[in-house]
This record gives sequence, C-alpha cells and structure tokens, in this order.
Amino acid sequence: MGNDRDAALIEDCRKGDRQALASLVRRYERPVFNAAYRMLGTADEAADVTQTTFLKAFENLDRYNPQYKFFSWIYRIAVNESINQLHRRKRTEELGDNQGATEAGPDAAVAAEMLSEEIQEVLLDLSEDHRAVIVLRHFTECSYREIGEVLQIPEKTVKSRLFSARQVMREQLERRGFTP
Amino acid sequence: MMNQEHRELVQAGFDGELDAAGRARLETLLAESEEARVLMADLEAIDAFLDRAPPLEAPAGLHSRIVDGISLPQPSRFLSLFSLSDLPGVLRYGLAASAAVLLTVAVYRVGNEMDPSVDYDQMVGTIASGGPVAGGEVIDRFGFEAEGASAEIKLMERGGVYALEFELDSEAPLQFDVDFSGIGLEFDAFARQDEDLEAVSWSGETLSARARGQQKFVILMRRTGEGAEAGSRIGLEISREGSSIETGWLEPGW
Repeated sequence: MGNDRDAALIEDCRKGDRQALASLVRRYERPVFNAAYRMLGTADEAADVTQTTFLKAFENLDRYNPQYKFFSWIYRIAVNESINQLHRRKRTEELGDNQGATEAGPDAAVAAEMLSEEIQEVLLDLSEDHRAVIVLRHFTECSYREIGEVLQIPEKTVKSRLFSARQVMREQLERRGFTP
Repeated sequence: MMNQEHRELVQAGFDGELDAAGRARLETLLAESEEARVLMADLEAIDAFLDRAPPLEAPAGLHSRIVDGISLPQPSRFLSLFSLSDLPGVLRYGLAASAAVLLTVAVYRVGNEMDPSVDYDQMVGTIASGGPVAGGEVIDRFGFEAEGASAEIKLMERGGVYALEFELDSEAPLQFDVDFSGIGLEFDAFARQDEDLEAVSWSGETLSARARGQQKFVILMRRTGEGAEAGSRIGLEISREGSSIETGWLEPGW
C-alpha cells in the first residue's frame, strides 16, 4: 500500500502540509469507512468512527512507529474505535434505548441499495474478534502478518481465529441455505 | 483425516500466504484428501458470499469533515523549504519544538531596496516568485559550535532561487555578517521565523543580522552573474559581544 509514499506524506503532515493531509485521508478514508461499516453495520456510525480514527491518528502522530505500515496503525485505531462503538451501543441498548444496532435507521435504505443486508447480518452475528479478522482479511485484504499488526496478536493466533471465524460463518450460511 | 496443520495449509493456500514449497504440499494434500477439497470449497463459498458486498463509497462530505477536523502544526514555508532532518539532534529538536509555536513568518525587504508603499508584513509565503525551493539542493554548508552557541548556515538552490539558511541556538545575541561581494548574487529578500531577531541591515554587498535564542532565518538571493568571480566565496563572520568568535565561507561553486 505504498509505505514509502505514506511515510513522505506523514512527514509533510508533521510540517503542517494540509495537502499531504488531504492525500493521506483520501488514500485511506474509503477502506477505513468500509472496515468500520462491516464492523458496525450502519453508515452513520461508520462515518463517525472513520472521522474519529483519523482524528486520533493525527493527534497521536508523534506516537506512530514508522516501523509499521501506516495503514496497519490506522486500521488498528479503526477496529478499536468500532469495538468501542459497539460497546457504547450495547450499553445504550441495555438502558432501554433501542435506537442503535437493530434499528434500521435512516441509512438502511441507502445500505439496502449498496449491499446485501444478508451479508451484514452474517457479519454482525460473528463475535467482535471473529468479525475483525474477517473484515481485515476480506474487505481490507490484509495479510496474516498485517492482521497481526493491526490486532496486536501473533500470526499464529490470526490463523486460528480466522479459521474459527470462517467455520462459524460456514455454519451460518448453511442455516441460511446459502449456496455459492 | 486432516489435522490442524493440514487445515492451516488449506487456509493459507486459499489466502495466498504460501511459498512455492507450501503450494506444492497443498497440491499433494488436495489430490489425496477429499476432506481438504471440501474445506477449500467451503472457503471459496464464504469468499463468494462476502464478494456479494461491493466496496462502499465513503459518504459525501466525509472527506471534508475529516480533514477540516484535524489540526496540523502551522505550515511554514521555510520548514518545507529547508528540511530540519539533517541537523544535529539538540538543535533539530529545539527548532522543531519552537517551530510549532513560532511560525509567524514575516518577510521583509531591507535597506535601500525597501519600498515604503508595500506592506511587506503581508508577504508571508510570497517571497520566492519562482515558487518554493522545497527540497532545494544544499550547495555548501558551514557549522560551528561554541560555548552556549551553535549554528549552521546552508547555501541552497533550486530552480535558480538561492537561499542562505541560518539556524542557530544561542544564549547571547550573535552577530552574523555576510559578505556577498564578487559573488554575482543579488540580495532579494529576508525571511524570519519569529520575533526574536534583533536587527537586520543591508549595506552594499554585506548583510548583517543580529539574533539570539533558537532562530531560523533565510536570505533569498537572485543570481545576476554580474561581477561574479570564479572561485569566489560568500564570507561569514560570527561575533558575540563585539568579538569575532568564528569566521568561514560558503562556496557557490562557480
């Protein structure tokens, strides 16, 4: 994903170059939004998480370790933010406000046009850990090593978690009668 | 009967994570094991299912929302023109730290060339008419360290714009006298990074600047070619409290 190019853009951002900032955001806003959407299932929340992800990334730019790829770092923030959002949503639901996850919301119509809700339902049925590895592997095309960097787990754990997640998905698809 | 190693081999093959030897092992396994073939088919089915979801476009306006919400260090023409990255550690970090808060870059023409009808304070970022000298080539450099003071002076060029960049860190005021005589460079503009520069004067072919603290300032020059002498140098003299503490030169290379 153009690690050298990212490094140059980050360096320019550190010098206050807003064009570099815009380039970096443009490079990753779509995959980050997609990853957040697959984790959360609603476009509004995914947009908020995407914005927060970039905000946190740039607030903590000094803590970014260039030894790792920028996208690994930013996906890590995005996945963590998505999980945090899921927890916030869960707490809201426990308080009796059901405006969150299961409520279709105004973006449902848009979502229905743009993707199969069935896919999102299957993803949302997965545990957060399983969903994260599926999203990173399938929708952001991260390698095992990169998923390990993002989630800060050993590559061996990535393999086993990914395998388990796929087994769960397979069982769900069988229940739903999906055939390729 | 497949074991864990076999399952991982199939999955890694599906995910494109195998080297040539691994792929060969997978081929053998798939040829021999119905269970492995079923697993591979399952993985392909899951992939096909997920592939039904096209990548989403980010919502309209999200880009602006993100970019507008992020604060960066205030941009400095000069920090982009002249990289800090190759400076010694202490000086670099000092300047980088100060840069974040001291980037009120003011540009002046000084001495006899000053046009009273022009508000040069408003010329921030407009001094290099030929465009920025970002990434300019360092032609020559001069550095010194003395008790309580250090400085580096670089002669840079890009696209015919010449710049003399000063970076210093000094407890006491330092006086810089720069002699351009016989160089064929004409003084064009002077830019500073903060308000601590005490005095600047331009007389004939000599520029004098007096500064203290952590400072960065730049002298921009045009090449006239007139009067240029082969092998000529830009003379430098650095003084403190009226006494010369260092002399040196920069060679423009013509």
